[in-house]
Amino acid sequence: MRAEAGLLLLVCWGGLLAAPPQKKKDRAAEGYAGTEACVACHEEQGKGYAKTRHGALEREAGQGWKDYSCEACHGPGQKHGEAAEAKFILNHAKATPKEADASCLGCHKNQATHAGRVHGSHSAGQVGCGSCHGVHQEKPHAAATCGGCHTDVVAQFLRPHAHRITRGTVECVDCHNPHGSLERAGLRGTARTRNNEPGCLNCHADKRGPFAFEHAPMRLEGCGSCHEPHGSANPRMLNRAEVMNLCLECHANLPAPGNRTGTLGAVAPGTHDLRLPLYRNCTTCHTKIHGSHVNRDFLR
Amino acid sequence: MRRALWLAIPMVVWGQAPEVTTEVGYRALPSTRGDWKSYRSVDNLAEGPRFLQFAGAWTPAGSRGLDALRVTGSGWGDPMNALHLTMDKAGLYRFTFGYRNMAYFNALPSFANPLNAFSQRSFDTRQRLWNADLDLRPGKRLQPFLSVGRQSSNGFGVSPIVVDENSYPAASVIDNGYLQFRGGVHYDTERWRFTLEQGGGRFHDDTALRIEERNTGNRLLPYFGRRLALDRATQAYAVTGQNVYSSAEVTVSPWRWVDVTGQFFYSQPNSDVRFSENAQGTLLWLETLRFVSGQQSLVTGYANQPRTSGAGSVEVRPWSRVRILESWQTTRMHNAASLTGLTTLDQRALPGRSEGDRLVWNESEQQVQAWVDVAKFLTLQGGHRYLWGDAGVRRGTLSTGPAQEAGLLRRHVGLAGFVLRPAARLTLNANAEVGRGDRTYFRTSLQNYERVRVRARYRMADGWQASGHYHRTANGNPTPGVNLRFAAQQAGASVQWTRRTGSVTADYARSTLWNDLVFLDPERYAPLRSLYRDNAHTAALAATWNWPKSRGSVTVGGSLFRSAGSRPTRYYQPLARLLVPVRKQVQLLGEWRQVSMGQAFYANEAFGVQQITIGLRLGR
Repeated sequence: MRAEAGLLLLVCWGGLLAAPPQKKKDRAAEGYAGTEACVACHEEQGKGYAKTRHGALEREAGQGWKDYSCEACHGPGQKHGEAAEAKFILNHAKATPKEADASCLGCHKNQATHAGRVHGSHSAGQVGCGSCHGVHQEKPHAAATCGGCHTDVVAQFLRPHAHRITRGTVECVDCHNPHGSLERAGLRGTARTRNNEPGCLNCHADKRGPFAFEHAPMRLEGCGSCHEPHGSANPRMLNRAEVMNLCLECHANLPAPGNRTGTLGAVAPGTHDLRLPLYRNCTTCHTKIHGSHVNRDFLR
Repeated sequence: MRRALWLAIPMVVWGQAPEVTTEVGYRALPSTRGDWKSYRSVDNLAEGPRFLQFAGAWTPAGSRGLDALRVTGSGWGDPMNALHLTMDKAGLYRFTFGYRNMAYFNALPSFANPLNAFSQRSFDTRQRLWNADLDLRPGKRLQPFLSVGRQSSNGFGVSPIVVDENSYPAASVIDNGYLQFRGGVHYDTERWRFTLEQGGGRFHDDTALRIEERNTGNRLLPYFGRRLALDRATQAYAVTGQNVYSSAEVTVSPWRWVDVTGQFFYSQPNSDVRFSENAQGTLLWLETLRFVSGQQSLVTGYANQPRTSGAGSVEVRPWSRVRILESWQTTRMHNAASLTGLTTLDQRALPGRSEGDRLVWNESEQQVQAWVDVAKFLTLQGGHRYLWGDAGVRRGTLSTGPAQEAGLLRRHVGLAGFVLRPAARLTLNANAEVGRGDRTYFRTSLQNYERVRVRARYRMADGWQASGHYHRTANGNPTPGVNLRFAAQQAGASVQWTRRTGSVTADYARSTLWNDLVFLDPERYAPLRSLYRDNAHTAALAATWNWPKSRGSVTVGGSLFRSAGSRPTRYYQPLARLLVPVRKQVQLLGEWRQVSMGQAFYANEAFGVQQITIGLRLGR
């Protein structure tokens, strides 16, 4: 473990020292007008932009856009300034998402958060960067930004048993990567995670395992096979009103194992009288339903 | 609702001098009725002084080491509170630190055994999470990064100890945590971009349960004339685990019209288990139909779960209006465990037992998708996805089949959709999936399904915006013995109006869910129907009026949820909020909120609580 960590650090810092310096460009000769010229007309945008994280482009020479930072996104503006016509400059609000995104991704394409971007539903649905990110004025990293479009999900969070996204401790981006993911719905990863982003298990670490006795649905189909993660009228955000139904829909004794459907876990693990309230909530005894370290029937 | 969300996290005030906005106040609960435990399980806001929220920012001019420092926090004194700090210097570093503290209380008898006086399956815990992330040289060609974080959960609860044919509610002490760390490097050039990362974590779970007085448990019926009971019992876990993973991602753009991506991930988490149980009382050892007065168990073991995942994709843009994406991914996981157990009954040792278990899972997915810009206002998309996989799990305890059950997955999915922008302010987005399969892992899994999603958004003039959505998912499994029928749909509309004088946000959604499946009663083998229905109305309103030429405002609104079906529920949260300017940088704030819930089948869990918060908002 220590040797691996040492090797990693060596690669990081060795590469850091070996990285070649970036070349400086003569922006004026390439048709750029400069920030001063832009702000002369677009004063409000200039003021707002200077306060954002992108504003550092204007202050720092290292990024190569000092004194030309507006045109880092909008493209060369000399012609636009001289002719005072909108058609000579890239206006992200009026451009198609594809055109606007090409401008953003010129710098941001390979950030770690963008792994799986091409698989993401935002990418497929042509939801542009500007739908969530404000460049002239930063938007809060909160559910309000996501809820602007995902009104259906906002409605689900209004159910009584839900993750409390209004309390500032849980946010949409804790579970979803809006830039894309190899998982469905941009999930950062569940118990069946294929990547190394924690998702559900970041908070629910006791469900992480590995368990000596795994409950297969959790690994094969993820937490959503039993839970409604956004909100539910059922306790513990379950998919069904009673625990019994949730369990016995799979452990149904139908059909017999080995038939052509190949469904798993068809035989119920016990013979209980469902008329007794005790047995209608299976997890009263099968307490370690997410996986047990010691008991194959998840009893302890 | 969204207006309320905006209120929850105030905008950071920027400037070159440190600027801070703070809200402090006192919350009172003048009226509480109904089940207090249910209220705590759902909302859990209590009385007392509160540091409601704060936000600060400092952007020093000309600093060589800092562009901006931002701090936000909320809910200090409340069950959920958070602190977030960001420091950055362009091209040099970006550092973020986050801390979250969440009280997690849950005690709902309807989730456990409603006939038992104990609130079993309940807990009162605190989850604390912190993380520190450091990105070096952001935006540069080579960017090392390091991250460390910890999650811990501590508290108390009630959880049953299961001994043979009975389960006994016991006091539990919950203590688990996970420390994780990762580091790596991003390397970006015009055509090549790669990320190498390695990380890991250490896990512990030291949960313990204890019974110190006679406990007759959940089973009310006697066995052979004797009532089972525990006089004393302890159960202790000592589980430790660790995980090391490596991952690599690469994106290559050999030409402007081609992107090739690849990802590889390997991890090998493992767990070491020590478990002990000591029970004394009137116990039945079912294997020998013998009553005993004492039982001790000791179990040691381990579990390994190596996992390898890979993904690759090629995105080709042969013409400016066409984009084709071919992608493939696969994952292979193998969980193997071995346990050794020793049990004594009335101080006589039974033969030791050794047990093993395996779970094997291989799954792959191949997908091809194409997008065509038919016109500037219309993009069509279509594609095909094929999923296949196999899984092997141990057979059920009562199953008479082979030791390992085999599950298969085979599913073809057709994909279609469009994005329509007939006007600059109107967007209509629709996509559909139609899946057909003949193998699936579980009876309730997706097999023959159709899924449609439509979303429309219209930005009108004068600050008006309207949006609507419609979703429908229908799934079926016609296999004899399964006959699953599932349908869920939701339709909703939202209207927003935002002007300097105020704002209005109104949302409404109607959802229905219907699931029908037959299973056999596990004791009598008689067919029973599992019919789950949920027909719900959800609405939210937030209307704000800003006082002219001052920083005061009035907000009224709230949310409601009403459902009928398998678990009829009503849940209301009306809200009113007032901001009154007192001085230039001081505002008086007041908030009234009511939280009430009722469920027709579980009337004893209903509650209604009023909350009044009065405080000050300081800062610009």
